[in-house]
Amino acid sequence: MTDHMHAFCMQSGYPTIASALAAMAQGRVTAADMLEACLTRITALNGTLHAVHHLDAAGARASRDAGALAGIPWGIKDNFDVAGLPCSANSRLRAGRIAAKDAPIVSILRQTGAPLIGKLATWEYGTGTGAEHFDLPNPPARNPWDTARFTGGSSTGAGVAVATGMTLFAIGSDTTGSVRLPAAATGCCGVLMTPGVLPMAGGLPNTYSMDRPGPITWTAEDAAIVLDAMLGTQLRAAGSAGAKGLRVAVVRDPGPGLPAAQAELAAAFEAGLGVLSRLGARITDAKLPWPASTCLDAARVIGAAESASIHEEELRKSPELMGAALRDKLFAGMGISAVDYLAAQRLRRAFTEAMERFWDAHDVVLCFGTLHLPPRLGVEPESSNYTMETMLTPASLAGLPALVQCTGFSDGGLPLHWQIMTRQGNEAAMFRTAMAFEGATDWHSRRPT
Amino acid sequence: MIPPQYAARAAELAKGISAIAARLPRDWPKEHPPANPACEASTVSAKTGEQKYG
Repeated sequence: MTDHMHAFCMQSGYPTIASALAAMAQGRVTAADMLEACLTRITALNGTLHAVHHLDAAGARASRDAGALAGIPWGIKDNFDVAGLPCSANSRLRAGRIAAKDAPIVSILRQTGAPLIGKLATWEYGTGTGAEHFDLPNPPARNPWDTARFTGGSSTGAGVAVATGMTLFAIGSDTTGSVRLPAAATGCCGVLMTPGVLPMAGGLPNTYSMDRPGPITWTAEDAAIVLDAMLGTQLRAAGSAGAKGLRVAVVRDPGPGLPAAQAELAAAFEAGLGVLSRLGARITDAKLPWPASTCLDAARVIGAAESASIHEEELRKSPELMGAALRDKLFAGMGISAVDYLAAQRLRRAFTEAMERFWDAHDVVLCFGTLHLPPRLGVEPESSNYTMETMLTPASLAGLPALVQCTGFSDGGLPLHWQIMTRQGNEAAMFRTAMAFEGATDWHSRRPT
Repeated sequence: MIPPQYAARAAELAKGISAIAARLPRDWPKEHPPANPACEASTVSAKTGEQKYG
């Protein structure tokens, strides 16, 4: 990001992590200033947007003030343990549960000095069907670009918190889109790393085999800063290398049974390709080994079956305490035969192996995330279609790094997006693509009002 | 196993997901195995069996 953009972000009152760190290094603001600004925003906005489930202002103020992310307030989805705070996962089944210790990802972030402001909104147990039934303990989070619209889920508070400056980053979890959909719906950047790089332990599981935690930030550069601080990587530096020479495979067709992307998403996608092309990326049309629609079918079978296994006892004993979306997903999962589950896992192995060969010719894939604009909250089938009709599941099945970023805005002022995927361990190429696009465009100067 | 008041809904949902599963390709060589569903970052300690969430 340019110095001019850093200055803009600070002056606008919506600092990025990069601009905030620069301002603190220059002594223009303090870590305490940054935290109090975020807490003030939460006080002002959360009654409408419902992004924060459990605020811990005292804990944030007591945070150590040294480290790579000192003064950078953050929040975490309410399905991860934070010692001494509720971990309700927005479920009546977990009312009154207080975590005894921090999840490993929380411990890692505490070492960076970043103050944790509390727990962010989630669908029940971080899962569901895409439908909103208004039947959970907390009211649903609202999209700050249009409060009648969905925030993306299941990390429903993460994108809202970041887009509105309640926090400067958030940690969510993603099985088939729960970090990437909120990023898409709120104009943020959502990132999945190679599986196992960020620890999912200490997070309530949605599935056994597809869950991954991931950061949500305002920019790709900010995501790189957070990951570098957590992991000791050099993604910010690697991402600054530009897009020249990157082999970009473009996949537009989601496959049979899924609609084409909505027109405004498609137009922004093509405009973004033009930007990357002018920056020197080598762009070619490509097809995935199996279409996204087939990956979606397999992910739905695997996800529902594994969720049903995880929650079987609760479903048997206390289905009336569950929200309808979770209960419906689990009932579907209970109806999957072992042979069908294994058919999906056989496809998964074949797809994963084929993708390994795919990367011989390509560095990154550019495709859509969801195929829709953020839908009206609770309006069906809009709401479910937003979550279910996506191109997010190839990365879920094959364990690919993936990044969703903003590519512009619709005529109605809603964020547009695309998704970048790469092979395992090649996150640098993903960040080169995203940061090059970000540096050549100014979408990030716009914030919800 | 499914409480009777939910049986009809559960049957409807099971039918829907079975239709999705029926679309999956099945023409694999017999020796082609499934992916290993073991989670990369398990929520259960492999060493102690301790469940790592509260």
